[in-house]
Amino acid sequence: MTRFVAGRLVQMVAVLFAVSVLTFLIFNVIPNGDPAQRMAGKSPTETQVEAIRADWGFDEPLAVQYVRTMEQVLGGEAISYFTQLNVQQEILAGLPRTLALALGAAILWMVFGIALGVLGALRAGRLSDRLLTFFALAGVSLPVFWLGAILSHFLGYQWGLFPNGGYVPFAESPLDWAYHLVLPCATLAVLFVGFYSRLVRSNVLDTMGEDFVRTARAKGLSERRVLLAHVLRNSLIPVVTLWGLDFGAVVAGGAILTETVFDIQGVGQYAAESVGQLDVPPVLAVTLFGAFFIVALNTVVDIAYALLDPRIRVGGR
Amino acid sequence: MGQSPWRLALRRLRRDRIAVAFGILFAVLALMALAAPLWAEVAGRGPNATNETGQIAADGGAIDVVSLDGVPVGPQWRAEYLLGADANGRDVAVRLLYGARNSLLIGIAAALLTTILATLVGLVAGFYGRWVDAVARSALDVIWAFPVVLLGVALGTALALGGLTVGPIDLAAGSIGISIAVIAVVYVPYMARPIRGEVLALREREFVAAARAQGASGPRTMAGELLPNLAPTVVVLAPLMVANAILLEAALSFLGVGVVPPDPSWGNMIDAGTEKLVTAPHLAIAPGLMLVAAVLALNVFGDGVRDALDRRRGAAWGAERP
Amino acid sequence: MSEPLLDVRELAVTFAAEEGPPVAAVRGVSLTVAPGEVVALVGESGCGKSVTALALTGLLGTGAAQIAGSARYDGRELVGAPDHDLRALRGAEIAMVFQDPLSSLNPVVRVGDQIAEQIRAHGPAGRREALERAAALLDDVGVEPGAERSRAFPHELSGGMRQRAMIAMALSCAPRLLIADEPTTALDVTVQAQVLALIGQLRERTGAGVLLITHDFGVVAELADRVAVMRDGRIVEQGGVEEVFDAPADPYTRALIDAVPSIGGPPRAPLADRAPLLELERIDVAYGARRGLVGRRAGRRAVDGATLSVAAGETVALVGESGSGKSTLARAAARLLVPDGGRIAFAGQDFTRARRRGLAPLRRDLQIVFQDPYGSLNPRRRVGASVALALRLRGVGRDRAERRVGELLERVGLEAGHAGRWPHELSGGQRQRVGIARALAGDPRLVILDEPLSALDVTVRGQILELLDGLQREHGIAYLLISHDLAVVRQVAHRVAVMHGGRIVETGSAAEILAAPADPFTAQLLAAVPAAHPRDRAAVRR
Repeated sequence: MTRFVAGRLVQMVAVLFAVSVLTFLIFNVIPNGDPAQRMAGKSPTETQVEAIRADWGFDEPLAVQYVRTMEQVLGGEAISYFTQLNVQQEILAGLPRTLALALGAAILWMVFGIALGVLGALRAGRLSDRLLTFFALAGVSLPVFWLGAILSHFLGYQWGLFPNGGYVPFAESPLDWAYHLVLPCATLAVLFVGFYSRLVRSNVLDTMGEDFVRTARAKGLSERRVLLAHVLRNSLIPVVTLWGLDFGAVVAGGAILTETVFDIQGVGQYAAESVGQLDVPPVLAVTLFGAFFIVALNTVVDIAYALLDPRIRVGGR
Repeated sequence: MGQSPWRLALRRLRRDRIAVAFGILFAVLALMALAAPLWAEVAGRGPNATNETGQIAADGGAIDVVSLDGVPVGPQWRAEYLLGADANGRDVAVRLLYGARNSLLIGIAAALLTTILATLVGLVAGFYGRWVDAVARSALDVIWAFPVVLLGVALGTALALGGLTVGPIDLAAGSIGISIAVIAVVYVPYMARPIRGEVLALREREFVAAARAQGASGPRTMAGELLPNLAPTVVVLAPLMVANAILLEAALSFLGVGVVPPDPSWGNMIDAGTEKLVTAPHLAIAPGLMLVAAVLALNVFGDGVRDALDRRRGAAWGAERP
Repeated sequence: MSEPLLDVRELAVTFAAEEGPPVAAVRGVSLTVAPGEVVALVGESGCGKSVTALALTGLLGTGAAQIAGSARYDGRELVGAPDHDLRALRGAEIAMVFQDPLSSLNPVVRVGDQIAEQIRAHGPAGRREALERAAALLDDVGVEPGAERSRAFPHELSGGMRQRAMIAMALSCAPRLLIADEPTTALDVTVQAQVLALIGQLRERTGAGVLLITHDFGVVAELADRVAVMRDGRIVEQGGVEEVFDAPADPYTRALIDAVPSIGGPPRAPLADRAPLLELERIDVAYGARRGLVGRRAGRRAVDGATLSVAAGETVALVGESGSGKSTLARAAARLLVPDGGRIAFAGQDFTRARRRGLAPLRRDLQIVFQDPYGSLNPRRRVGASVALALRLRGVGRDRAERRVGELLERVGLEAGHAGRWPHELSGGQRQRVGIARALAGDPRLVILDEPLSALDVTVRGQILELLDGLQREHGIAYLLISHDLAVVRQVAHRVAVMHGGRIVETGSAAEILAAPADPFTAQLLAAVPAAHPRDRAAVRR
């Protein structure tokens, strides 16, 4: 087991390095044109462009550029030339909001995803299952930004059931904080519930056909015990690890659309607003941090998977 | 003579009437998109033709297409301004169909490109193994590390000003080509992983060894033995890829790094529409509904394809990760 | 005459089909099992024997199957009984052992916990107490030390250990009826002998009745008191085991018994000294040849210094159990993988490290027939195209290739018209014939047969053996036959090589090896072969 963990950690460092290189390439090398101009945004002055060129080292060889870029971003030096604010601080400010949104949505979609998935599996083939399938597919087909806008408009603005977007910090008022998060979390969750309920359903159905489930019944176990201790226990292992990955993806910027629509002012929205202004440093930083977070979380999830499923510990993938 | 595995699958698919119905729905939407210029003729104006100061006949009198405080007229339910006008007086229905053209074109082209790339990568990596596989997997892992939308946004932003030159291909900034390229690349790992997995499993099957024992070379084995048996996996993933590509295109356009206005796409129409939700809800609702219809049709149809091809009843989804 | 433990009368099971009329899997089966008696239910694959067993305790899944008729356990009617009642019987009074212990045990739960779970389901027992009893049970069945082994996960135990653990689990609540569904089919012959002996001992000790389901008449001869022969959902013959073996009333039974090759009887004489055609010298193949850094176990090889030769026109059998390396050696010989050491020569030419172009002559003269008829044909290619592949690769024109394929198919006992069929439209035996036709396409001088019979039904095996024999006599083809079945080997081999742990432990003429084995492993292998007739049954083995 220790060898497994060590192996995964080494892999993680390698991937982190590769990710940083790719991010660097995406922003500074691949596109045509002058990177300094690009960073400077929509309407820069000549002095600004020169200053940027010096800070980020665009005159120097690629390897040095890479090191400078990493220094700027990871060292917390980078500023947005559009807003003049320090990028790292902006990200840190938005992080708790993004975390709250992600966690709330993640819990919602997990609970409903499993419940609906198991329900669909137990009633496989019947009308209720087909309806559930249809709604799941509908959930996956809804663009989250449209759904959010519509819900926020009708439920928030028109009928006043929920606040019309915005975020209230927990410290100010826990109740208001939760109240403001209901609609955004629900919107984000709808998309995932559709996917997870289908995944759970198909995993559960597959597992129910396995030989060891038949053995469990042959042992005389109650149907409930068979379902909980054997079917769910085995079929949910991959689901739980996937959940970890998706949670990471949402925090790392996957909530960009939901945050924008509901005006949460989290990390994702920060990136979205910067995109609109073609303001490169924040997008670069968010991308880099986001990918780092995901790679680290991937490693944690891999290790968790090995803990849950002993077969994984033997040999590699 | 005899029933090929494909024909058996097709029969099974035909029996799934709901899947077929939704498949037809998508085809109808695609046809409507193709017929956009026809509708523009009927409606009397093109997708980008503004009309802020015009008037149209209604209820016996004449009303402003765009009122003095910027509120455009709603659906008229007749040829001209069938679904109303937008803030610049343009015909929403016409824009919707032209937007459909763009969105569907980008979605389908990107999915096609992804399929080709992913099949190549998955096939070569899975078949040759060892270092080829290690390199491919690392590359895929790295792309996989970025959340889809964020990567699309990153690429879109980076390429927004200067465009992209890859060898002989030169893509201008803001062109459809950039959108297609970005979306295609982002989704390659989603498809390459299941394909590679399938190749690894197939590679151990005895008929592959038999072909090699008969003297087939590596490429010949890949093309003759593996590819036909990969086809079901690819065909199952394809509709889902198109659905995802359409959604991603809409998201990118919504954020401003996809199709650049005034060219319409469902995404940027929703973006403009959400600003005017209070006064003119039809601006956001119309493109949204059409987008949902197209994507849902693909998902339901894709589900039916999977049930028809995938004998094992519940192969876990890999493809429509949000 | 005591009341039978299990009394089945006119049991019928019907399944609804995806399209078309319902399928009758079991059509009126009647049999009895008395306490302390072993009744074997024998038949080929698809005859409905497993369905019968699963139907008894309601394990066929609700709604899918319609069960009619009667099955009384200890006087209580099982058919139509509410699931609640059946559940009380399952595991406590009627226990089941299944074919594949790896898939029949929950892979993520420790073995001891799975046994304890059954104990606690049928009686008050705390967790610790149940685990202690589980460990004791494991000791009883020979999985020692029980306390340590009970903490293992299923994949950490060997196949034989796993099946013993399943038996321990089945017996944990002292059932009076044990239903064993192909309990040794997935096991090596030496392990099979031990497991059968175990079942015999337990029957003696506990007085339980056993319903033993199998396709193997050797297993029947070893263990059964009475036999019921099943075909197409019906019982065609039933009776005491000696009577049925001595004088089978039904021709189908006779065909099944005759089809089992026996190890008694004279082996073939070796052919006179001939120059070797295929020479394998000190071949080494390392484990995990494909995986990278992880997976190499220092010092252990899949094939270790194997030396073997096959002369023109002779049949050399390579025998061993699963994991012995024989399949790996076969693949090395066919140059489907490159050995890490040693030398491969064919007709005097060295092919050890030849690349694709250099391998062409080898590919012409040496072909291979695979074990699994279901996996050895490309499912998306018509059968004729698969056979013609070698020809087409060599540039033979389409018409000529077609005609040749027609010839080949007829030579292996099929029709030329079969060329247009898809693999899924053919039976296992037919597919194997296609595999043979494919191997013959280029007029090879040597064909490697990798367990060509083990995936086939018993009655079909004899036909394929005859076909292979005929081809050898007609064309002088040499065979390297990989097999674990010594009875088949006796029937066809001139010379035999025995493989164990990657090494060839013994070679010699068939007569020498089978009558007077020098190596202890070979002796063990021979002793483990199941009896051909009940009277040859060995006394209860330890």
